[in-house]
Amino acid sequence: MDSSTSKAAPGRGSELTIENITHRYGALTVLDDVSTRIAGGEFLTLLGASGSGKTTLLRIIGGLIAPAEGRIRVAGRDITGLPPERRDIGFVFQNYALFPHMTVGENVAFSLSVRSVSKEETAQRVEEALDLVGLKGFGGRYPGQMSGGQQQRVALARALVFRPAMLLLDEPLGALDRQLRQQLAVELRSLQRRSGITMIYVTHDQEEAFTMSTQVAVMANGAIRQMAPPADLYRSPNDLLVARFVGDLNEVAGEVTDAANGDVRVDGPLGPLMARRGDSQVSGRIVCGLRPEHLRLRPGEPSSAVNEVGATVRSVIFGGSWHRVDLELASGVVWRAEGRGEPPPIEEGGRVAVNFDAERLMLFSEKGVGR
Amino acid sequence: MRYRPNRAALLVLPGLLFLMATFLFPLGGVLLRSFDPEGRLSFEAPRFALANYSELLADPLYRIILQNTFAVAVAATVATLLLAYPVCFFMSRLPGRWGSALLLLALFPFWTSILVRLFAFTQILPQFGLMYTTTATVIGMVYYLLPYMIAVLYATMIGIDNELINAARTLGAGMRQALLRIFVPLTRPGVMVGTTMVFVISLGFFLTPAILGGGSDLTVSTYIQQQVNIARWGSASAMGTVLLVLTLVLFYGFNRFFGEDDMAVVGGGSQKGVSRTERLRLSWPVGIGFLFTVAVFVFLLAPLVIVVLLSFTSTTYLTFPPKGFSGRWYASFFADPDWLASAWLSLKVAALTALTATVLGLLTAIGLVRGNLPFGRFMAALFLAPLIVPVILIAIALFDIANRLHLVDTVIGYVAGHTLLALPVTVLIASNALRSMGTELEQAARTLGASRVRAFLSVTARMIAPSLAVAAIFAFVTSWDEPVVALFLSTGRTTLPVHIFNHIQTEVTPAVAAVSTMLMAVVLIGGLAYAVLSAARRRRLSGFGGNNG
Repeated sequence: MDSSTSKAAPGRGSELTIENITHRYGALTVLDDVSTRIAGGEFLTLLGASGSGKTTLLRIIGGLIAPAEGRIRVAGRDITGLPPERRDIGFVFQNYALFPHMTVGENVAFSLSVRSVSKEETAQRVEEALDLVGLKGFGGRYPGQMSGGQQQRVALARALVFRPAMLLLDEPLGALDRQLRQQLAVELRSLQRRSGITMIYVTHDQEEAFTMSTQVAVMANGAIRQMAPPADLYRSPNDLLVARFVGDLNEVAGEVTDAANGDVRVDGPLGPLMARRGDSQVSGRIVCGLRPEHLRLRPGEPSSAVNEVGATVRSVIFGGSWHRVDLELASGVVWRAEGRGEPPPIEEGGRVAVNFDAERLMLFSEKGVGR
Repeated sequence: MRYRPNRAALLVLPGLLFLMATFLFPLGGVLLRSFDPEGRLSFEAPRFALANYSELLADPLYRIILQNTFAVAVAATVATLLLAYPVCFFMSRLPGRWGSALLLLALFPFWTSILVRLFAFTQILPQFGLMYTTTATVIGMVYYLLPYMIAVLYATMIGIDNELINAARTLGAGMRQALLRIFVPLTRPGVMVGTTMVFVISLGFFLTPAILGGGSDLTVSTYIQQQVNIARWGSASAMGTVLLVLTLVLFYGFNRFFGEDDMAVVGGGSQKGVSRTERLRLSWPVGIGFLFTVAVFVFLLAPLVIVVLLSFTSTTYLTFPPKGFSGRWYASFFADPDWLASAWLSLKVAALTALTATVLGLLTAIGLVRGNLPFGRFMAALFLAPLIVPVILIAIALFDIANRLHLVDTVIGYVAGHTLLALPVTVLIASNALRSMGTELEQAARTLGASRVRAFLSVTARMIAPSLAVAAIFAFVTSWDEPVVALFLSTGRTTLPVHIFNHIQTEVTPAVAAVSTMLMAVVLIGGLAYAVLSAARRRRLSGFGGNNG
């Protein structure tokens, strides 16, 4: 990248505070008392299924929807009542919303012309912005003459050119094919890291969220269930819902029969399982969860060792650098195991022993709330 | 691309022959007459002189007529645009189905007989002392034109994603700038199409100036009628030719400047990408739009409501507000053999028109869509031409030929004239239906062993049946409400609209109000049938053709 991009020093993005935001469509509450705070320069992804309220929250931050209750502050300043044009927040729309009657250059220049920026400076900044997204020389084209990926870049350049304090992105990669999506996600990440602008990104795609974010907030039913860096979210999800949404999860129900010194014994259809935890605040009926990569497979019948159970192999898929094995456990419980490289020497329909470390067994209360 | 016409191409022949007999040949006759110094028509020894045209240039009366026609058309077009634009803005920003519901309401006058509408204004305008003035003509024209303009602008605006305005605002533009720089430029194609269409219609107005403007307010159309009435074909056909050339130049110029792509915006009314899930946000443009919408809808619907109220008066003359309440004027309609005879004639003519226009339209559409014709676009344009040519011209041309063939006052004459007027729309509807369903299903039937005809009848014909029903209803209504061609083709046996016209011209009794009310009731019932059928058509065609999803 050239000098224009390195000028943007990291950390110039603004801090955002969301205070008690509630919003309803008629009788339906889409956001229920949401509060959170993110520091300047973070890349926050709002991750959730459709209907979780993530887009509504984003549009409230951008001023496109007025919340029923609550306040939005940027760098401490209350902007709840400000119209979108006075917020100085960039917005990249899901369908890009490029102005079809303007060239790419005119689209990008739009925000500068309403701010009465001089002609020379406008030309220079438009050039820089297009260069930044890899579209140098495309200024004379119309949006209709460009591919989806190019349009997406134009939308990004248009939202960045006026140097907003914050950039909001509403599933901007949703309409693109998988490969392009991955490529643009990486580009977006490096762009954000370079510029230090605060970005808030909405998606339902976990891979996208993990690729780009410094913080991920999982949303469901109009509330943020958990907000954490991606790795923390994956390793220690707060509840069953988050665990299921972030990555694959093997589950089995059970009941805590003994908990002492951080060792928890769970009895269920697979027999006794042992979990190891820092605290022992767990009891009653629970759901155990295991990530597919934490299962180890060995041909033959299981021994009597702790956390070893028998299973029948349903399918073995060899994906080149990885393998995936679907298993049917004794009681009809279906699990999935994943690993790197070649699969172990097992056959479809054959018996295997499955074992895992007690530290890997996650325990969730059945209602999916709390631990 | 090489054109190799197939057997389906032959199916355009009946329609083409019909078009030649009722349209091209008669108009050619008018053209020939315009070059004959005495306005006589002779195919054996045609004379070509410019006497009639030089007279047009020389006589200041003609210049006044032309100026008057233009001035009135410009005034009506501008007023229509200014009224319709804010209304359509408001309607297009409404969430969910509210916009389409309001559109249906706005189109109600369009489906009401023009004579009912004119009758309403003959009752309202005198209250304001405006009857028989140019202002009255303009008001009547605006009333007629508004539904057209609203339909075109709404179709354009509904395609403009609210997200574009949102985008402009996140980029720092205020509401006013977002509208001026994003919304308004994007509506330009619709404004151009709507304005051109409305202006061309304005140039050809005949009944409105004849009834509301009084005799003094001459326009090209009323002048042509007067001249034909006293058998002065020379100046009438020269004037008609000038009107035709003006109209065609306007259309040609429009197509040259704005091209096909812009036109394409209009028909579609595609909702793709429009985010209509969010509720309407109050802002000043929406507020202004709301006020305009209320005012325009009062203007559109109040006259019709007043007609209904008038029809229940108990007095023998029309007063407003009506006195008493009685059904006597309805009874008088059913007791009067003249009213009944004209209604019966209208019904017969309309039913036959629906049949012939739909059959001809379907055959033509198959030929145009499937025939792989050379000059296919030209042929398609030719079949649409009767929509563009001012109706007064079609009327005198048909009158001319019907006179010589002794078809004046006959059912055949009426049906031929009305079929000509309805054919463009039936061809359009049938072509769209055929195009949107494609040939895949029919080919599937043929791989299963069905013959070409069998495959068409058992698959395609059934799929497009609802569209054909819509076309038939449209043709029926076109004929049922048609006054101008019917006026020229009648001497004694009049259709219902012409009968109303004669009543308005001579003695006005509340019987006209009663007839008008019944006509509106028919339209309302027909409109409901149409709505049900179009819904069925959409259900059937959705999922086929891929591009209309």
